[in-house]
Parts: sequence; structure tokens; C-alpha cells
Amino acid sequence: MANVTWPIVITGLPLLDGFLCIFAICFILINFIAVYAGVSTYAERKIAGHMQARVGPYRIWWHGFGVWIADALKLMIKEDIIAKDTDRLLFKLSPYVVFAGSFACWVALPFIPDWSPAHFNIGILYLLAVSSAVVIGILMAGWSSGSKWALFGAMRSAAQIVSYEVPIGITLLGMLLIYGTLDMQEISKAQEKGLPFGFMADTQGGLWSWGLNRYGPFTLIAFLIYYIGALAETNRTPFDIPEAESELVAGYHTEYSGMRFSFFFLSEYANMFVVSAIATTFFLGGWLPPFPSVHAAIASVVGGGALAALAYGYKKKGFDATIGFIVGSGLGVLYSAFTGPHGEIHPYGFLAPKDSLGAAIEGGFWFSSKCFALIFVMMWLRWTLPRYRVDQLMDLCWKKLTPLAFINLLVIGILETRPQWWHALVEWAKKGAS
Amino acid sequence: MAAPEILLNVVFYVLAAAAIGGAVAVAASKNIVRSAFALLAVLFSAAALYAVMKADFIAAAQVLIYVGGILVLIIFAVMLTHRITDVKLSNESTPGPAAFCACLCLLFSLVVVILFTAKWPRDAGEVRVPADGNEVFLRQYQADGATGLAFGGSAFEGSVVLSLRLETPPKTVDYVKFIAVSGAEKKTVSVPFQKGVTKAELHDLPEGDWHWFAELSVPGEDKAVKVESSAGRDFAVYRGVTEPIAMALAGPYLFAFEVVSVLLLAALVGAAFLARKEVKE
Repeated sequence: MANVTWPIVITGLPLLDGFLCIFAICFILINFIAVYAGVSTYAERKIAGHMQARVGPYRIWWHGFGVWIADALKLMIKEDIIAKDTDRLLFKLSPYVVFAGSFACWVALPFIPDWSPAHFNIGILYLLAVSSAVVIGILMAGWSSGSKWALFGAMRSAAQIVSYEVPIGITLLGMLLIYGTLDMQEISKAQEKGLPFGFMADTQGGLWSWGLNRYGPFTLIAFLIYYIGALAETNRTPFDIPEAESELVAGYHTEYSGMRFSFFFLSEYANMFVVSAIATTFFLGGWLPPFPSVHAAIASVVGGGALAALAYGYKKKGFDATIGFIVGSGLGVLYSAFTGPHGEIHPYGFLAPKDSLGAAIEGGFWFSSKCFALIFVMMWLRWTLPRYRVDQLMDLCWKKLTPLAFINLLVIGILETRPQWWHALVEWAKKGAS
Repeated sequence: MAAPEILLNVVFYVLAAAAIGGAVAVAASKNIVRSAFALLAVLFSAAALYAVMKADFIAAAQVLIYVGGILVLIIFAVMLTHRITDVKLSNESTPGPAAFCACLCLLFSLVVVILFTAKWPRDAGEVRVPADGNEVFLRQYQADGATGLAFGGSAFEGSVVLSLRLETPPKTVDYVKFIAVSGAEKKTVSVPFQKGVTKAELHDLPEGDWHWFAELSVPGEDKAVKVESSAGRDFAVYRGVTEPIAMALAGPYLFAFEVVSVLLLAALVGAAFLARKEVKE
């Protein structure tokens, strides 16, 4: 079931097998989540500040970086208040249920090539399954608080999460048609080669081989549906009606304080990482680098730099250096993908050889950068978009995203399993044009 | 017993205790909302027990359907029902001791039925469980190709373990030749005969439906004794994971799959019924 050999490789101690190994991995992961969530709160406040033309936290250490440690210390020493009307057992239990649901997802994420904390051949199914424990925990918290705000928040949250699981599941089903496996590692590997619409299936295409580009607009729509659903599943703005401050005080965790509150908080950030990691694995190539080869990397950096400089020169006319860099890099990668292989291309990583520690570090770097980029977009949206109403939210899910996801599933299914149909269509269109 | 095995046993008993404890809490709790939440412990422990038995897919499906679907609906229904917390006894009509005796009788008859009818795999080694855990998945619906003689076959990533148990073997058997056929493809492997279960591995099988049989070479006789299963398709070789699931769900397990959807529908209707507004007359 679980492949937990990595710590043995590192420490060289076979005694660490079994329980100790699992314990060590969980220890590392939980500490990573705590630090990551802390730094994310700092990043969120800083991003919020800059988006609103403020500086954000600035007092502790360099640019206020120490503020998350101060926050953590504050949460730890805060008084643990339990109100009179609470169901004490469930009230105390629910933060752990919620956190366990988020944490259990982390063990199946494909952080580095060929190794996950626990390697499942049914990875994505497991992820979808265990994340449902979060809903139960939220309902538990809302009901046991004995507060109408908490109960409303919990009901809204559960209704929202259960609803948005539908378009998410259908979208991921469409991608699973392409990959033909539920294994997160295999899904990552499947995005190594080929250009959109199945052309040049043996060529490493860098970011053009990723699931996002596999069937052009359709997989892009799938990615957007997944990402919107993921925002709703993690209760992030614009779908933060479960914890709408102006309506429900703080939603399902209104009555919580101190460490119990921080468990909900940790769980929210852990969930953000999990949904971003699933998006990364399914659509953004997992731990694969965006460049097919070293040449492509150089080409894209040079091309991107050139276009960025050009755009900077024309800044007054409305061009942006950032967009210039992105377009330039994309063109560079496209160029090198079409001009064939350059030099030696390593299977999973473009600098370090396969199965080396370097490849692991490199894979981890690409994987986490993609996840953090998606998390950044989540934070960005939080300070950009206003909140949906409950009826609008349900309308979006059931009347727009779900039908769209079904149509998309159908199209991707036809494209993947009946290529002769659309090949014939392309021929027919060519004939008509000439 | 090796340390991991002891650990696995401990885990098994802890989970079994959690499942039973949760079930008792569901039945005995005075608060119906707590009963509903106690169901979480039961369902999750059951899933974890499946995982301990290396049935990952069943475990995930259990959590997905029961925790993510049924339990959320039950909790919704319970929480939305008007003045539900005033209900202090979930099963008022049943007298406690009588219910207890009835449960005990049912449990006893269940144990008796299991003891006398269930066919336990007599040798755990009949199905190979490789280190990477791939085969685990398929075991759930492909290991049992048994006919008059004991057969077991499961395939994944092109490898299969064929095993043969002869209930009444010929007096002397030297070698067993396993032969697998799929269309024009033919793979053979010859192994010495073992008392009990004779096993052989076949590798690099191409995708497809395979039929297999064994030939026993008996010294002194020219003709080999052919041992064959009656099933036309003994095992199938797949690449990837989704296809075997799809084949199983759309093939032999279609009815079970549909029944599960009816279960979900029933839960949905129940939730809607409970959540409706009381009409005052």
C-alpha cells in the first residue's frame, strides 16, 4: 500500500521501516504544513496590503516577515473558550476531524518524481474520498457550537462543498480519460511528451505537453472549471459565503478561539495546497519542468528577456514587461519544441539525471512552484472579486459549471477515444478550404 | 512474527474496536445528532480495515460513497429536521434487552453461517502481492477464477501468477507446465510440482483476454494430463488502472454498481423528506 522507503535511503537504517518511517514522514509533513500555513498568512496579508496600496505587516523583522511566528505564538497562548451551549465532545473533536481530513490528502501528493509519502495506485480517488471528512468536521463544528452563525456557516459550507464536488469530479473524469490511470505519479509522467491534439507524440514539449494544453481549449476549460470548483471547495473568495464576515461573523468557527481556531486555519491553508497540487498534477505537469530541454530553457529566457525589454521600452504605450516575458518564454519553448530534441534530454528533469537526489530536488522545486503560483492566484482573487450570494453560487454550480463539465467530458472523450473522427473532420475542413 | 506484522495486527484490532465502539455509540447515544456523527467512526474504521487488508480501491470507494455521500446527507437531514435535538431516544419502540438479545441471535447466526459456508483462501500465497502494491487492486475481482480445481490468476502490468491446487492429484507428478493463450499469443512456463499449491509466474504478457491451463507430466506416461478451467476468459491483462475499474463496473459488477446508486437516491429522497417544511393544518 504505502511506499515508505525514502527515509531508509536517507538514513540508511532499516530499523526505521514500518511505523517509525510513517511517523517520521507524518512528522515532517505536519511541520511543513504548519510552517507553510504560517508563511502563507504572511504572504496573504502582504499581498492584500500591496493590492490595496498599503504596505501590509512591516514591524517584525525584514518587511514584517516575523509576523506569522508572532501570530502562531499568540494563538498558542490564547485562552481556550468553550461557550455554555456547546456540545463539548463534538466541539473539541471537530478541529481534529477537519485537520485530519486535510492532512490525509497530503500523503498522496506526488511531490517529487517516483515518490510520494504514500504511493497509491488509486491516488486521485483516495484524495477525493478523504477530503470529504472535512465536510463532516465542518458540520460537526457548526452544530456543536450552539450558535446560529456557526450553524448557518456550516450548512452553507457543506452545501457548497457537496455541490462543487460534482463539476470537479466530472472534470477530473475527463482528464482521467486522457491519462488512463488514477496514479498521481503516472499522471505526472503522462504529461512529459507530445504536443496538443496528439501531434509529435514522442517529442518532449515542455509546457506544451501538459494536460492543460492536451486538447487545446477543452482541457483549458477543464482546468478553469476545476480551479473555480477548487476555490469553492476551499471556501475562498469569491465563494467565501460560509465565513462571510459581514453576514455570519466568522461562519462555522465563530465560537472557536486559540489553538482550536488555528486548526481550522491550518486546515484551510492545507486544503488550498491540496487542491492546487491536484490542479498541478492534472493540468500543469506535476513535477515536470516547463522546458523540454536546456536549450529550450535558454531560448525561453532569452526570448522572454528580449520581449520584456522591448515591452519595457514601449511601456508608455500600454505594454507590460511581465506579459512580454511570459509571451516571449512561451514562444521560446514553442520554438525549441518544434525544432526537435537538443542534446541529452533526461526523463524527469532537465538538469539532473533520473533517480538522483538532484532530480528529486528539481522535481520538488517545479511541483511546489506551480502549487504556490496557483495559491498566489487564489490570494490575488480574494482581494479582487466580491463575494457571491448563495443563490448565485448554486446557480453557477448547477446551471453553468456542471452542464459545461458534462459537455467538456463528452468532447474530451470523443477526442481521446475516437481520433479518427476528428481527423476526418480536419481533412474535410482542409478540402473545403482548398 | 515480524515487527510489521505485529504492528498490522495491533492496527487491525484498534480499528475493529473503533468500528464496534462507533456502532455502539450510534445505537446507544441519547442524542440523535451525536448518533449521526458516531457513524463517521464506523464508516471510516471500516474503510481503514479494507485498507489494512490491502483493498485500497474498496476503501476509497467506501469513504467516497458512505462518508462523502450518505453520511453527509444523513447529517443534513438530521440537522435540518425541526426540533430534532428534542428526541432523546432514537428507538423508543424497541425495548432494550429484547433488542440486545435479537442482535446477539443475529450475530450468532451470522458467525455460524460464515463458519460453515465461507470458503476462505486456504493459502494466502495463492495471490501474489508484489512490493509495489499494484496487484492488490485487481485481486478484489480477478483472483477468483476457481472451478473444480483451485485456480487463481491475477494480472497487472503484464505479469501474472498462476497457481494450481490439485484436490486429487495423480500419484506422481514431476512437472507442471502452465500454458496461457490469447489469440495467437502463447506463453508457457514449466515448474516442478509442489504439494499443495504449485505456482508459476508469467511475464511480459500483452494486453488482452487470456485463457490458461496446465499440463501435468507423469513419469512413465507419454501423454501429459491436461488440467483446464472451464471459464473462457480466465484473466485479463490491462495497462493502467482506470480500464480494469471500468471493465469491472460495466461488466460483472454493473448490477451492484446500480444498486449503490439506488442507495444514494434513497438517502437523497430521505434527506429531502426530512428537510421539508412542516405544514401546519
